[in-house]
Amino acid sequence: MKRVYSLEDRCLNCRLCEVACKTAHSATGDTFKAYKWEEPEPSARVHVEGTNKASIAVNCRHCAEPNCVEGCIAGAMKKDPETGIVTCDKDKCVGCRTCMAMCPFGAVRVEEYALKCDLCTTGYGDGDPACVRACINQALIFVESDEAELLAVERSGE
Amino acid sequence: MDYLVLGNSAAACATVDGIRTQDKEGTITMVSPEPYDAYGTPLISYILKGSVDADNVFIRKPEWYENNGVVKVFGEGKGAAKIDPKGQTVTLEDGTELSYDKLCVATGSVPFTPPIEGMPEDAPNRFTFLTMDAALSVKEHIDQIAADKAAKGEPTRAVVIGGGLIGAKAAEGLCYHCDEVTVLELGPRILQAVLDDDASAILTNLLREHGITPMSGVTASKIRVADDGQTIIGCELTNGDYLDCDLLVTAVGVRPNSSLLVEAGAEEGRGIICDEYMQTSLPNIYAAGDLTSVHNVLTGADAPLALWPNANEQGRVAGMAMAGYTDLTYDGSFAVNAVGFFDEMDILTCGVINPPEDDDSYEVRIETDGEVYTKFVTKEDALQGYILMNRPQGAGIYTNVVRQGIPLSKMTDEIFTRPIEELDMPKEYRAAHMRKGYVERSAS
Amino acid sequence: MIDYILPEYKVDRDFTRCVGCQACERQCSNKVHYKDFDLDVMKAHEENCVNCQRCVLICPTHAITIKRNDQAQPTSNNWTGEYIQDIARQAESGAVLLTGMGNPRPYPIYWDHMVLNASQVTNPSIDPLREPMETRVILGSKPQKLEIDEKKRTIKTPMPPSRQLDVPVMFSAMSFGSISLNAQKSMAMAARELGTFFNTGEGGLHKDLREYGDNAIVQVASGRFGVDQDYLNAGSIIEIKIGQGAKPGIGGHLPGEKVNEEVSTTRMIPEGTDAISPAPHHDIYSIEDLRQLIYALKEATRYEKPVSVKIAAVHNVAAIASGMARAGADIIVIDGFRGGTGAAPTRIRDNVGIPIELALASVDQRLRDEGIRNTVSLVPAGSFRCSSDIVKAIALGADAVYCGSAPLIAMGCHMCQSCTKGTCNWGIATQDPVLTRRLNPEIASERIVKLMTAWNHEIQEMLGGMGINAIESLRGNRLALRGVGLNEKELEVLGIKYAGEVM
Repeated sequence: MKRVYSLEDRCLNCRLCEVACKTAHSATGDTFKAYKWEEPEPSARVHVEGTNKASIAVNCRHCAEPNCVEGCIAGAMKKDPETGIVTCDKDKCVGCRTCMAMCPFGAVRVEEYALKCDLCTTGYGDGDPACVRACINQALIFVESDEAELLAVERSGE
Repeated sequence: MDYLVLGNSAAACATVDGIRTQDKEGTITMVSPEPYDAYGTPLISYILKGSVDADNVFIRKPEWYENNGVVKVFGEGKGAAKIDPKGQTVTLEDGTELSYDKLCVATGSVPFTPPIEGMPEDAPNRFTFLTMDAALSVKEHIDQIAADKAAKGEPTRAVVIGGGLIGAKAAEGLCYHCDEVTVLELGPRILQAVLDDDASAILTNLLREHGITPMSGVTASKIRVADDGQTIIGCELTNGDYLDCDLLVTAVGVRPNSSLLVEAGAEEGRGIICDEYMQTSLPNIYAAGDLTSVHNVLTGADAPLALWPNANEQGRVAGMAMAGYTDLTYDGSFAVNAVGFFDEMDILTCGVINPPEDDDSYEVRIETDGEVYTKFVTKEDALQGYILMNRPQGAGIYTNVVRQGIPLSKMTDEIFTRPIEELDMPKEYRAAHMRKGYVERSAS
Repeated sequence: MIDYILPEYKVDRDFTRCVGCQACERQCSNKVHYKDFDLDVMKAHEENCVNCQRCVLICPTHAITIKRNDQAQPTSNNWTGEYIQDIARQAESGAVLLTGMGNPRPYPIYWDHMVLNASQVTNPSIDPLREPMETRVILGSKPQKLEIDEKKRTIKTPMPPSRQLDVPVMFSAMSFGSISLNAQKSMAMAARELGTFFNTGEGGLHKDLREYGDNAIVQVASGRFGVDQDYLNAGSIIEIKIGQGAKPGIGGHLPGEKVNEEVSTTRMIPEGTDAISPAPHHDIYSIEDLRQLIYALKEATRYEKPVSVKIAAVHNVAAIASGMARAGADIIVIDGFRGGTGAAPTRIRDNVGIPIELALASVDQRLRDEGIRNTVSLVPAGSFRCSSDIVKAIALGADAVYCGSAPLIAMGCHMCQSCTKGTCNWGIATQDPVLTRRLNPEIASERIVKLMTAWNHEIQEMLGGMGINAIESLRGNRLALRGVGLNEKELEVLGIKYAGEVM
């Protein structure tokens, strides 16, 4: 499946992916309202770690056999058998944070319920996910995992 | 191929999913004495608390059974009564006989209560807290009792015997319904297994704020009953105190629900012993979930690991192996726990939390700041476990550090004083994340 | 003490748009933006702003506009605010004013006073989409005459080394040191893709760029930084840099703090030492000395590589060019006074040298008059802003042109002229790893390739419109140009007629 990969050496720590994600997951789709007006304030699901020296956008990898789904006690975290996308059903999530303790990438956050990347598939936009479109340096790429693997090999100079 | 699965919770459902990754044709029968579709057992405290409706706890959609071709044999009298490993049949409590080619026993655990003097046989106000029915009964009774007591102008008092995860969560749920809840824990602290003394003290304070009185080093020595000889009215304690009690929940512990297998001849340690494919010592019989003995990859101990993710992992391995897939094995695990109280406190724990005091190869690093308490247990160059109280960030990454045995010498010590980040992982591990990018254990 | 220096720019932030995401703050190396957490608003240290436009373009809500600080200035055409501020700066620093990029003063720009011809009725124009259109250029010396062996169908005349360009544009010399490795790599990648050349400047050729050697012009300048036999042989063309349009007669100075490990290795100088390029080559005091160096370099590379000599356009440029041709240069580069730089004294940049249009015309004319035009290729440099500037230059006599600023702008440069600060927010004129990583060579090279491809299409359209199907046919064809708004002398030097004048 196509996944969002983050290329560490390209990430510039501008965090526009976070802004785009928050906007994409807002009720109004308006960045200003998302930040300054909407109640509850929408949350970005992608999160940039680090500083200008070294940074990386942390994003759900939509694992083939996701630990978060395995750990979910509420049946809220699900992997779609067709698309492979892992999403959390906020109406079922009880906020127990097992998913947080299970995700090896630190890609799930829990506020009232678990927040995670849904690859912008739940009606927030079309084409590439919002974070990928917002990235100014092509540090976030939306590619088939095989391609990412090839890219990784290429980039590591092996 | 006829598959028979005893049980209908995490391990059982995962077994079915595992079977169906390999075999789309075989018949699958699931057997359970509970009438419900599979639900999240840990959610029963949320039902009692009232934060989750009883119709919103199911871990599989209703059509899941149909889509997977599962024959449901659920309800009263449908519990398994006997396994005949030679004849490859299972007899249910109501006498129904089911045959199988492959059997998976995923019957979980049953409550275990040590005998207490004066405990009536059939007390109407005594409950365990392990099933949805139990939670619903508690809820129903406590509300009724509370109403009666309120009419008399008296406070409602509940006592929970056992201060482990089940007991503590039951107490949390109860405190939404009655005036006083007391938790009796014979051990040194509440949540003995997943917390240390200091963390437990922080939790104790929170529980007190919410009208729960945890008492440690104490348990009930004698039960007093009303004139009817059945209704519990109070507990005498081992420290000589006495507690009025309108409702009693016993949650001292659980034990593997393994008697059928043992009677059938399966080898048992502290739980049912299985090989790496989750097969028991009996041919064509597998087991998964709380009733199995799990090899703890951190400590080397073998004991049941009654945890949700573990049940799912084992079930999947068992199911796939039952259907002939042997590239995926289960090689043991370690504990990862998440528990929260009152939407105010979240506790995430993993691995070794209280290393043996006489073993000085362990090192402990503790940071505490008000309600925030973190503890990391390390041994040589590896992280062995953690407590993250009210600071959940990065928990999964720590878990992964434990799981993969990532050398601590390759990371900054700051990971013990602030939340760990992906960037703290050594470069080669980060590259591997980029490379593989996702967790995939089987090639399915 | 009062600071007499006024902020040059104002940050105009639209608070009906700003969401306080701090992207501007994180991306500004000049530390202009900051968040006041007490008030939960973004604020600005405007005095630090250089108008690089990074924040303007980064801002996800387009909340930022950078404006010129319109503080009332004296109403004098003579004592402009700019001169007053320069005096304030120098009164404080006691130092030479330094600046970057090309001469911004309002001198006449002759490209804008020359217009191109097109075919009407009496000669057919050519549609480049339907018919072949040659934009290939061969650089190098061409023999006086060509002897051909008719039987063997071979050329008997020994051919001097030459190089082919698929587009009539090369990327100007910019050293690693003055620009980042990523910036240089972007141009190297683009040059390879486009079939043209980039130029190492006087900073040596970084080991990572050796693989682009076939598309590299390796420069030998007065500091001789990074020059050894390997370097000379790694490149495809060797260029002796005598002068630079932005600072004729002036050397270069890369301060020690920019000489990091990579720069030091590439330049072959100790880390942290100032890299000083002397004003003259201390071994060149005459045309004869230049000839010695040219032949030394040819000798070192077995006469396989064309040698180019680059000078700044100065008053007697035509005579000097003639000497360069006679000294054995294969390519002559004339850098006009609007040419860019990473650092030059402001007064030099703005006041020394002559416009490239006039220099080019006079050099081409002189070489033709002397019958030696064929012995060299002529490459003007210094502010080619668009494809029509290039077409006009070719009509004036150029073989190809050097473009520096245009590819930088394609990469992200916004002409803030603050290259000397070393804090280039676009990752171009800086060695700060935090900033250089902002320039992604894969993206930047693609943008340069797209720009040049677009220009090449436009060049083809203009050629076609004139009924010409090859750049070769336009070279030195000054009848294709006419002047507007020029005086007699200017027309004479440019060698063109006035618009509407009868032939």
